[in-house]
Amino acid sequence: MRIDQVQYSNFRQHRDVTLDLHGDSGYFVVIKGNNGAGKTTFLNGITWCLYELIDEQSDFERESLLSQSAILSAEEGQEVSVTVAIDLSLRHGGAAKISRQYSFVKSGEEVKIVNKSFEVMAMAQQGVGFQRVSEPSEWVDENLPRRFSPYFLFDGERLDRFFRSSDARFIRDSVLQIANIDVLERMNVRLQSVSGDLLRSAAKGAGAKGEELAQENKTISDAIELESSNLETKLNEVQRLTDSIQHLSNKIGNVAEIAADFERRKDLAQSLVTAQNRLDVAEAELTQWAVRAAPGAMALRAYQTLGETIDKARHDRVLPPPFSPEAVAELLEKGVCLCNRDLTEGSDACRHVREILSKFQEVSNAGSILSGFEPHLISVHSEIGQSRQIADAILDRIKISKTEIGSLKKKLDGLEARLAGHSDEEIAALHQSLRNAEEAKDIGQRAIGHLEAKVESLQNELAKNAREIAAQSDLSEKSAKALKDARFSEAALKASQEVYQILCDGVRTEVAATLDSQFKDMLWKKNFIDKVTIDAEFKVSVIQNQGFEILEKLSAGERTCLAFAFSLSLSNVAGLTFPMVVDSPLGRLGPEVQENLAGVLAMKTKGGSEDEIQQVILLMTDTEYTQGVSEILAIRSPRVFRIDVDVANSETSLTKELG
Amino acid sequence: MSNPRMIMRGIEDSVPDPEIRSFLKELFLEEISNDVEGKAAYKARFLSLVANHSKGWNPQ
Repeated sequence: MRIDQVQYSNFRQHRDVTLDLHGDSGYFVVIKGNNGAGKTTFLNGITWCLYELIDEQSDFERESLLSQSAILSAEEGQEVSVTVAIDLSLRHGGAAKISRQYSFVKSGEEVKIVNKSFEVMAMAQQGVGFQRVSEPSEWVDENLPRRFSPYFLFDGERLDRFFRSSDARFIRDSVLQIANIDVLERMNVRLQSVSGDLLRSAAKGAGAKGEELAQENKTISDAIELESSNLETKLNEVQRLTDSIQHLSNKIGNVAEIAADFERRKDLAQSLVTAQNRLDVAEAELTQWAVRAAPGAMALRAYQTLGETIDKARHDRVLPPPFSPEAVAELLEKGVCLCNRDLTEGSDACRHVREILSKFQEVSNAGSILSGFEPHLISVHSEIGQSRQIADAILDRIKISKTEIGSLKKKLDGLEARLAGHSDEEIAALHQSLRNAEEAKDIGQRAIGHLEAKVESLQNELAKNAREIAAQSDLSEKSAKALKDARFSEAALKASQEVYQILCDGVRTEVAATLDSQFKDMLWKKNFIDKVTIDAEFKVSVIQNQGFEILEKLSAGERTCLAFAFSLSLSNVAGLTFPMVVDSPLGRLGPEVQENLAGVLAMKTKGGSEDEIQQVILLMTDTEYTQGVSEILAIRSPRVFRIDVDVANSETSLTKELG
Repeated sequence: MSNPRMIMRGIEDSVPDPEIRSFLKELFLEEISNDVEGKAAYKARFLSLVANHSKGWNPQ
């Protein structure tokens, strides 16, 4: 089964919108739009049209469905209608057109509802033509069971209802209804009633004592009915309390985690201060070294530069070759230069050479002193280099610390936002609420024990009463016949209850096996789940490899997978291909999980034959329908629509995207 | 998943007493058909079925 078309007329902001899903790509549809654009209204329109429900509630404000712009443009006394019409394709070429309409009349600034209509036109198979269905609600419930709607037409951000204890019975009843097993339950109730009637009828034919026994039988039967009803109420109450306890425990757990993170944040902040201090000390040491070593470093550099300049000048022959004072002194002793000039004592040349030698000695002394500094300068320079390396290493560590602390601060801002409003008093109040719920649950469970004992005792009394009736010796022929009929009904009831139990267990086992297989197929980290089970009350449990139940500990992505697996299992087991319309399917998930789940959704709903393909309509924001998600969903060639809202008149428009 | 045929099969396989088995099958078919209109008519039909099957029944 699939939705071929949905037409919205004056339905909230969808004043005139048609969602056309004819053709192959209509099996996998994405409607994307910003928050507030009207995506949820698409889903609401479908549940309203099919079941007259909005957000699973039947007591919504009727007038709120009518488009505001339609009200504004209507004239006084004018009739305005809100309509949603859904075209469906059924198996074997059949089709149906379902349409719901509310009509209003404008009166002043308000509107008053004046008429409601609901119509189904169905065609059992291709070519036979559409016929008006006399009981449209029954037709819808038979083909798209209302009990199943919360598991196929839902808000992805409200998936918890799939696993609530208080919803387990609802799911159980839904599955049994789909399996036709609820017929046996009805049969059993009738058999019980008939059996009692027959027994009392038999007793009435046994004189005054028989009358008395019949009266007693009626009293006990009524008491059983009353106490069984009380028991049912108590069981529901305890299941709701179990949900509350779970909810409160989760809430307290979250607050405790935040508080622990807050403590971690304090430690990290302290680490940041320590690291900053180390940096300050290192920088101070570095500065001190620089002050002490700077003159030496500068002299060394100058000395090295001077040497390099002299060497270069000699190499370039700008300076004469090295000067030898010993050779000059020898010439002075001989009194004659190499060029035969007179160097005897007292001559002008001799005085001049002696003056040069004296100057050279002065320069040579200064050079020796300078050379004496070289090793020291080199040592200082090396120490400066080492201290610089240490400082660089410290700076690197501090840089890393600063980056870490930057990200911690960011995380902290998020934590503080989550912590907002969580005062100690509020946490104490949560603990108190949890204690209250646990006490109430204990009381409820004790009450259940008492009621069960009471019902059992009454049933024993009833059995004793039945034996007494049967033991009456003066039964009329008619009474004897009624007694035999009653015994027969009783025996049939017992047999039927056994059949009912066997079939219930069979269906439950089948749903659990399908769910287990679907869920394991969907998970991308597969090795930690042992099995998924469903207990007699249809409560789902996820058992990990060490045998612990971990349903409440599953991540948001895993829970979403489990919910989708549950829907697909119900669909599979019931033999229904209920169209799936999901609002914000990936809303609560991170990018990686979004892409994983998108892949799962695309592949797991693919089906084999046309009748087996699960139609999926996803209502997504841009943060869900990311580039990565769109590339993954592309394997199903989805039909993609963009929904936009015109703020000026609060009306939406739907555009089909190409490609 | 169970369907009417599988429920009939369940009755067939799980109820040893032939008369009760036959009664339950008939009753089940009666329940899933919409032939009998109204509560009183249904109860009369129900009682008639009980009477018919009880007649030849020997408790086992």
